[in-house]
Amino acid sequence: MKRILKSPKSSASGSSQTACLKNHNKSSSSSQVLSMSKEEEGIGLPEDIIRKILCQLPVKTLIRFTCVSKRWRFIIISDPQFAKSHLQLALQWRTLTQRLFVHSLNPHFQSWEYEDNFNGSVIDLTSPYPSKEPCQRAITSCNGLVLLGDSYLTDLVHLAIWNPSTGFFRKIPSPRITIPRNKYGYELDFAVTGFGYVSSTDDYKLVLVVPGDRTHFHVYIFSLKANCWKVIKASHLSSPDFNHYVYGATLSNGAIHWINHRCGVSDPASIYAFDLAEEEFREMPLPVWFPNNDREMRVLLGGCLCVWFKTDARRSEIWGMTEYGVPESWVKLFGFREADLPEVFSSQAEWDLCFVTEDGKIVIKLLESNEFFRIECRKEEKPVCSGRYLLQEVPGYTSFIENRYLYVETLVSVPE
Amino acid sequence: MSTSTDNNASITQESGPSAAVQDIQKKIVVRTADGEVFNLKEEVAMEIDIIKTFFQEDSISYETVMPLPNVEGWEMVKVIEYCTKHVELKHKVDGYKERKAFQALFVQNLSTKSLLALTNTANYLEVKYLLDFLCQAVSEQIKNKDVDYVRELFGVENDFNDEEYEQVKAEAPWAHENLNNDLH
Repeated sequence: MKRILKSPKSSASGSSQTACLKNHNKSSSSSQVLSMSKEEEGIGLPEDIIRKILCQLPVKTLIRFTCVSKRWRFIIISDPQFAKSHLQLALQWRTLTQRLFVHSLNPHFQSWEYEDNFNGSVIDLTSPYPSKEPCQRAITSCNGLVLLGDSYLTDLVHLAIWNPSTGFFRKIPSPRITIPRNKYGYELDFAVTGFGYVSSTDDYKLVLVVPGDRTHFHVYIFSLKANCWKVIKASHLSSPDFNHYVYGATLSNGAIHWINHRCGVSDPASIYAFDLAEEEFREMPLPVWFPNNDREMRVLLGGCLCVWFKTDARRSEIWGMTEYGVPESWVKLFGFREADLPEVFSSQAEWDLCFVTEDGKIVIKLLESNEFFRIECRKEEKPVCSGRYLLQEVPGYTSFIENRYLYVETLVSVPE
Repeated sequence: MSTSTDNNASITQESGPSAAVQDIQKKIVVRTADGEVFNLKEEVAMEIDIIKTFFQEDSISYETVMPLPNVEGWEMVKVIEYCTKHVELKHKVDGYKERKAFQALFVQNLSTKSLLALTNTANYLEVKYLLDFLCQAVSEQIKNKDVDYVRELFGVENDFNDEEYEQVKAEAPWAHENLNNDLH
């Protein structure tokens, strides 16, 4: 069943309610009072008080309450101002619900609520794309808006922004990109993709970083507000390596980040950051260097930028940049060996890091099975496995979790 | 307690008629919709912006009885209770736990419907911190409730027809599942 959100018509307020503007003797508010007609019993609460109450409720409750009346539905999912207030409050109180896409079997998604005690529910979501279009994958998300699409430049006709909680869906027009070729003439058919909120302009930007020529990147930027693409040239800061495929960049502090694996094994990798507001590149050093090993970026659930290193001998280290932009503030948050947790890492199975939380917990998923484990890392002691969660089987499908499948539940929408 | 009564008594005796006048000036009188009359201490009355505005800005004498036609007697009792506590805690350095304990007791015997009525009153009387607290308390209580309950509580009419309602509900079935519907 399609879930395309239609914008409400002006009759959203319903025939039985008349909106009349009354001036309360209040200094602050621009309140609008809906005087209830005589048919309605109950308290004649002014709308701004209803909004105040609603603003504190979790998203699941609010989505349910969109069925209360047309007016309530309008406030909850069609009023960007209400969504913004709700998000601000949730960020302040740290009550945002975290979810992870665990299955995406076209045209369905499933997402799992991450709760500290692993009590979260799995919900079914239907592809927001119109039935004739193929459903895309989640690339990254910001403030509850998920960017759907694919990173292959030849395939960018299906980019879209989707809020899985409200059903808000907006197609992004495809950019016209000249696909670069490497020196051997092969198409470099991928881009670093980033998506984030720019508070100074109250805008969301989608960014594709593409190799341009030998000294420059081409950065394609789409502003949701302006509803158009533009391209800028930005010079390389150091020799980038486009032979490593990077999918989605990590958003933190208003910039998107990825690890630039440089050409030449002896050259340590660094972090590239593209500031969404300034539209400029920056480079930051990594805390340590483990040659020939995997490094991935993550963002801590509490907000700081982290790097996950998988070293030889099946060890992992997670470092966090506790003060953004200050290389000296890199701190090793956790380190553990898989051998320390035989009950989790029994068969040398590959695994993926799902979350890193502030208070020393990480949640991982084994790639070969549908199990999640929570591991608590104490500084001096051995790590402890403190929880296990088994996802229900979806026949013929083993879910592949990546960091980009993480999103939060919000009411945010950005209509054209 | 007895010491202060003694003090009051001694002050009245020593100061004579001027003290009696002082006592009257420190009270503000309001009358609620059901005809009940309340004497509020000035410092508590000033927490209620609508009263503060009435007396201070318009320089009305404290002898006037201010009518509050939108407020019921029981609501006034609760508002006075909250504001009195608020004033008391203002002077305390670490009143967090005490405030929390008080707040829990404050809402304990109120139905959600009464809480909502009180919220409306706090809004009308313009007591911001009480309004903030009550909104939070109401949201806590309705967080896991279903659509019918909320409609009844807020007095909102369902303007969806059956087909529309089913359609809206079907957009997010996950939002209607796993509710802990307490008895209400």
